[in-house]
Amino acid sequence: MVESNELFVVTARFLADGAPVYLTAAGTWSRSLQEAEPLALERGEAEAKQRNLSEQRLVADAYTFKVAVSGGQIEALSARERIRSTAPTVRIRRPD
Amino acid sequence: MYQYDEHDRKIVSERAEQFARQVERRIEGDITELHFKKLRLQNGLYMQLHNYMLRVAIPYGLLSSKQLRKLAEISRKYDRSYGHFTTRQNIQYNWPKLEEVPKILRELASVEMHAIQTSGDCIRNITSDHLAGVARDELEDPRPIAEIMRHWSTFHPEFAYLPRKFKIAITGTPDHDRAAVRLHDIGVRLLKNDAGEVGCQVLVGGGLGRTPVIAKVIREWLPKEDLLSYLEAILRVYNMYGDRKDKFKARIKILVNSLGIEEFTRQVEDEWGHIKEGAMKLTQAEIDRVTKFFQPPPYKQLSDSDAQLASLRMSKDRVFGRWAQHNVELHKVPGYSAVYISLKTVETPPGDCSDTQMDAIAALADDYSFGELVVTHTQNLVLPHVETSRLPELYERLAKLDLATPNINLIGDIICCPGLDFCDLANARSIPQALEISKRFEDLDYQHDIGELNIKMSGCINACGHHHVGHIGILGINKRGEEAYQLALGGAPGNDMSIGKIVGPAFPPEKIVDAVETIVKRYLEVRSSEDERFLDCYRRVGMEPFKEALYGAH
Amino acid sequence: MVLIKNKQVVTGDPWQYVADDQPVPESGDIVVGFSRYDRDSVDYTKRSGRLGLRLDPEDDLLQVVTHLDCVSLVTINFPKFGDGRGYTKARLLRERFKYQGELRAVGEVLSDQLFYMLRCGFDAFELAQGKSVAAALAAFEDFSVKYQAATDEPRPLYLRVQRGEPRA
Repeated sequence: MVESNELFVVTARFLADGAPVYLTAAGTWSRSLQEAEPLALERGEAEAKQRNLSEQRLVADAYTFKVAVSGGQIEALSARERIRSTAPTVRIRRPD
Repeated sequence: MYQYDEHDRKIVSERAEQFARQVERRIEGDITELHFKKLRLQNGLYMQLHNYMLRVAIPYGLLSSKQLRKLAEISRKYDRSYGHFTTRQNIQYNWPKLEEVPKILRELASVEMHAIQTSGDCIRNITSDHLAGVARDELEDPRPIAEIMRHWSTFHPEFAYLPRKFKIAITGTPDHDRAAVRLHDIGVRLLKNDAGEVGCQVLVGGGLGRTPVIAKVIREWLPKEDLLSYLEAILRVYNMYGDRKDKFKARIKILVNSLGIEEFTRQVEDEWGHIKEGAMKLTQAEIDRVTKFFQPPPYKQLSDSDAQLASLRMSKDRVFGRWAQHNVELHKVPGYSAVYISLKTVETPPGDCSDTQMDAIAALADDYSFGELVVTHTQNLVLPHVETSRLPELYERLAKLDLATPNINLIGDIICCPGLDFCDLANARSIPQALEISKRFEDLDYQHDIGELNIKMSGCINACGHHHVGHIGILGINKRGEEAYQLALGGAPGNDMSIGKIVGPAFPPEKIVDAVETIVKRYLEVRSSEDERFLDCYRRVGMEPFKEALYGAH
Repeated sequence: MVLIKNKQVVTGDPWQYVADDQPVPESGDIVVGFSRYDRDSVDYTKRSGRLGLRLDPEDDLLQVVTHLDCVSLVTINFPKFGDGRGYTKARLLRERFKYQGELRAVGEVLSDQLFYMLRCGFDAFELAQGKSVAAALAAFEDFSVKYQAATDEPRPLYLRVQRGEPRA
């Protein structure tokens, strides 16, 4: 059962580089989770569905995931979305 | 190695152009993502957690130094100056941009490489033994047949939209399967029949993932000329009857299990009866033609070097001696050795290799190995033809590049998928844990003492890290949105294949490395001698001692 | 719907697709679904006009082929372009059962599949709604080399041309 005060964020990936992006209140896509607009699930899912249809040339695979907001910070509630919103947690390339 | 003729070259360059057109149509909005996804996957292009990922095919792991230099160059121009070698002998780039992928494909085509069918529900890269052509225990070099199967499977028009992906592997060493053929949808073993002729044993329905299954023999022996028609019959039955509704039940292993091997065999043999005498019958001329590309390189006439190698292994320089012991393999040609380049250090994700290292390795391949190298499915590299007398100087050069850690097949030689740091499918991260484990066992004397111990780690049930067949297997799982790790013991990938057994409840990230150390310490306590490997010890004493060490007495 | 036959756009297609729940018209060239046809008590020989059959992925080809004599068109339905069963059906119809009438791909037929479909014996293609015809016609020429034998080419490449030898 989804609680009515649970918050979600709409996310997708930029077509150009596959990077995770988040839907802002202005209706644009930001690479930063902190600029996302926390929404109720129903609205989030409607937005995701709409964007998948109408914004194919910009983004792909929009969906929603759960977040918590405290002290003005948005926190992803799963390990996957946390890592996704930052960067790989390991060194990218061998030291030379 | 195989050299493209004009026909092979046209195929890869026309494919690059076809994909360029598809990318353009996607960007223009003429193709939906749903449609484009299937097309880009057939060119090895994934959308991963942070970025696209491009998987480049390295047929049976064999590379020329020229190809390796191009892979380095591509990593610089289009990626972040490194590549990742995988458990299917391919290489992956983690940071390409969509619009540049056609350019990458063109550059690959210029060195006879491609990314064709490295993903998607089609026939994937055909893998084989990383010591093909040089191993002492090899019956016959499987690479000519692998190359012939590659032609047959590339753009096969009937099998581009299978129920699910399809992986084939071939081994030429009946008694020592370094290609893990029993873990594949189709495995081929070169074998002699009673008349002493070398032909093909065909196995079907192996695989890891949610339901690990060891492949079953469908045909004990076939002459080579009948192999392609037989494969075609298997693929056709699979294409028609594999599950199309449930993605998790769609691999051929599920079909084989549900029909039973006898009924499945009957259906395949029935279909084969119609086609075996047709166009798919391989001619000896074609087998001979392709075999010519795999003739031995111009080896020098040298005397046997087994004694020399033995003495190098007892060198006063202990680290070098260990390297000669663990990272150097006996060779079928007198005076030669096969040398492993260990890509595993305590700092680097297993399988990663920087552009500068790739260029340096290409130079070493030219200097020491007739310009050839091989990617192993344990995420290391091999220089297959090195004069034993030159091992000390090669070691020095590898050590300067940090590629000489003497850990091949030891606990430091961890096989690990990219995991949740990179992969969209993952439940948990794998690389940080692998590096932690690596660090915990960093001491080379300790590693040497522990002996052969293969840790294999997957970030999710898709098992790209082959955790089911690790002596110690680690599986990342999702426990209420957080990462956790399941431990399994006793898996093995070769002729004595076994699937690992889960020890008990999963461990949180901060406890898994201790758990591995506990297992190792218990092994050291209960092994019958220094020479009893972990796997043999486990098979002798069973799960109890390890379970008890981890979870306490019951 | 755009119909492509023999690599050209054709108009004036006489075939009428009859949905499974529609009554069978007494005259005209009609295409009916095979499983409906198989269950039907309608005597299709009594009507005027030609008969075509639509094969869905689950249809059993061995059941279908006993009826091929009275059929002038076979359409093979791809409800999802990723369901590749139609390719096997096409090849077997041509190569095993010697069907020589029109073999038409319908459903989710996109230009990126045309090259393979042609190789498997399809000679007509109903392009999915809204898709570029130019891209479709060009797609038949995607590749100039075919490695393996298929319906369009009974011999593998190495039997058709002289293949390469190791260079010095």
